[in-house]
Amino acid sequence: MTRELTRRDALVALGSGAAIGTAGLLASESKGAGEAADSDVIGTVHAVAETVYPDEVTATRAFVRTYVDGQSQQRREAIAEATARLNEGAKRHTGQRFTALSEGDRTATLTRLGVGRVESNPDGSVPERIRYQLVNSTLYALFSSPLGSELVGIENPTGHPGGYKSLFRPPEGEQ
Amino acid sequence: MSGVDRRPVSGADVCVVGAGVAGGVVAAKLAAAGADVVVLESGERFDPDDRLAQMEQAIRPEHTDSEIWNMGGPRDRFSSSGDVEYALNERRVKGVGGTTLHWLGTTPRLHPRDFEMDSRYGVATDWPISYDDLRPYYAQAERELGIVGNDEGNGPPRTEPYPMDPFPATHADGMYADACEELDISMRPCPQARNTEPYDGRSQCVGYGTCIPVCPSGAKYSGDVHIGTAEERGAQVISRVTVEHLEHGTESVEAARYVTPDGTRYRQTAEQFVVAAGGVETPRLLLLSESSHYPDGLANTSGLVGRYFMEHPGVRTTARIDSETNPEPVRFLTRISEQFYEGADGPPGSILLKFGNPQPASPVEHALSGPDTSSLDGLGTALGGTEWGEDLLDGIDTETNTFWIGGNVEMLPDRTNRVTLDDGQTDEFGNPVPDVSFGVGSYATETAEEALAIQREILETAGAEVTRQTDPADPNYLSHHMGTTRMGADPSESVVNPQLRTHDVENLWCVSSSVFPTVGSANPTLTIAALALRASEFLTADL
Repeated sequence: MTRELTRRDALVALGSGAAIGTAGLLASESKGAGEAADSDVIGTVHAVAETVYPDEVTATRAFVRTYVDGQSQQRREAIAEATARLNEGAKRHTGQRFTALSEGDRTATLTRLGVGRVESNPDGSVPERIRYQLVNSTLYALFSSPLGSELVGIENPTGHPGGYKSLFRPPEGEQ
Repeated sequence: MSGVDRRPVSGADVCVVGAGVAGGVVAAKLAAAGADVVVLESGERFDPDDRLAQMEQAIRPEHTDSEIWNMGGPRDRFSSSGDVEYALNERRVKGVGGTTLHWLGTTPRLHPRDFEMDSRYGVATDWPISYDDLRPYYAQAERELGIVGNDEGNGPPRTEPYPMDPFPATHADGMYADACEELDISMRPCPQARNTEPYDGRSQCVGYGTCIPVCPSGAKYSGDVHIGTAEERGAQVISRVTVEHLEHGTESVEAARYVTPDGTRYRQTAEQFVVAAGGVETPRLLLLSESSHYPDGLANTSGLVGRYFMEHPGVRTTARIDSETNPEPVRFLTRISEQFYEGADGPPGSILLKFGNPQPASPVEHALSGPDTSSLDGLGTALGGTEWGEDLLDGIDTETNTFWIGGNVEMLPDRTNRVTLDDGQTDEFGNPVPDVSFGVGSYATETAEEALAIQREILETAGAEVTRQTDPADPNYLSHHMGTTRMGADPSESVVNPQLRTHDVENLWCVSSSVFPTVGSANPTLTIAALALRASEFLTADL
């Protein structure tokens, strides 16, 4: 059974989930304020997340939307631009938008576009930007939340405001 | 940004150069006393609403720490001509808040012996003030910054409790403690400016784990806290203006000449001028302000402006142990030892031991590290390196079996270690850059060797196998810039007097680690804040 990533998990990834009353919550809310991302953008980011996440976890649209809408306007525009380039590439190679593809074809499309072979770079080439804004951003959202990090045994990953006391737990089997 | 008013403020009583801890404390205190204060800061004002985005950058391997706080570049050019090839900009932040935006937050006090090195041991020099003189200001600084700690284990004398309880011990701390108990070595909770409870309107630590380079919750103190207080009290802060000359007559400074990002130059007049720009830019500004009155640099009749530069060499021993240490990422110090702080008539001199909190491998870093392009063969399966999907977590091992102990090492003042102007290279505004020239010296090297031997003994007693040690002759440096406008009672032997006013110029003050005559092995920021609080009282009396 896979674990489903929700809006709450995305709030965690944004650094505000467990830090009620901290500057973090205020910051994420204020930066995320304004026009919400286009539904097509969210759909494409969601499709990328479904492709690059391990099978043990499943991202919901709400998770993706919360993460994307929590970004600054500049970042949201960069994410939208990357989704446009990804859909253009998918149409060029398959005749369909990325979201319409099967998971296997999505992986193949990312591969054909070179996204797996390039350095992630927000200011780089099209595949480098897709890697940064879509692939690595969704992976960041996953692994800076406990649902992602717990896959490798970490309960309070770096970037997650789970409270300092949780950082002090001993290893399993130790007092 | 266009539209920002960077014109000088009329009628200022006090002009502070630098918006770090020292400048912030002075500005806040003088504004509270009713002074009209203007602060001129070379770096930018970072938006607190960007802290979470900065954290994402800090965690993601695509970015560097220097990007996050805009460190380095043409504004911050420097040269390094001594034995040590010095990375000045590696941890130095110019901005509203200064380097504390980026610091770890470790805040031990100096010890009484640091103020009496000549009297006690016949080395270096004495401070013109004693530990007891500074002691009430240390306590005040601990309240102002919000310091956690307790009285355990070989710290310097104190009568006041810390404002907050310390952090608990990590699992690794317990492993170190067993070995230290066997060796009769005392440990103590690390005093630090990181809240264990809500304090002064700021959050308790919520465990983001990105203290260096950025704390999104505000639980870690940074100098912008005091700048904010100063502004609430009416002080005006002008960011992104670089002071390039202090205009002066024989006995007083008349104006700070500064340049804006578009190259416009202004004069900020005031009654008093406080240079609070750290151990490199403070002497640089005095040297840049040469004149017919002061041909070797302003307030430099002694010839000592820029001399006696000191750092804290850092040495570390890393070891491997069979059992797991810390399962969660604690990215700050929780235990230190000041057992070896006192030294004797060394070398070895003072050592402050830091018990490291090992980190499990970061799943974000693993997942985002991208392809190993060096091994790509251009063939199909070959996304190369780290894949995604099912293969994403292959190869990641988060069990932590390492240990490390670090050490701050005392370095003595040496007249030949110095900051000068490099006339062969200019910054973006055409001014000569600072040249930092120093060697570590035999006293520090022998102290580093002793620190490494102690670290090895503790780790091996804990049952670990040492895998790596710093070369004591080539240590890491902790970006503590100190000593370059030293404090003293004798104008021929120092730049500022015990009040931190320059001997030569009646309305010019240096409030900075640059005034430290000696440095012990304690991180300097709490002492900077204590001295700033003390100097603020003398400044207030002069208004």
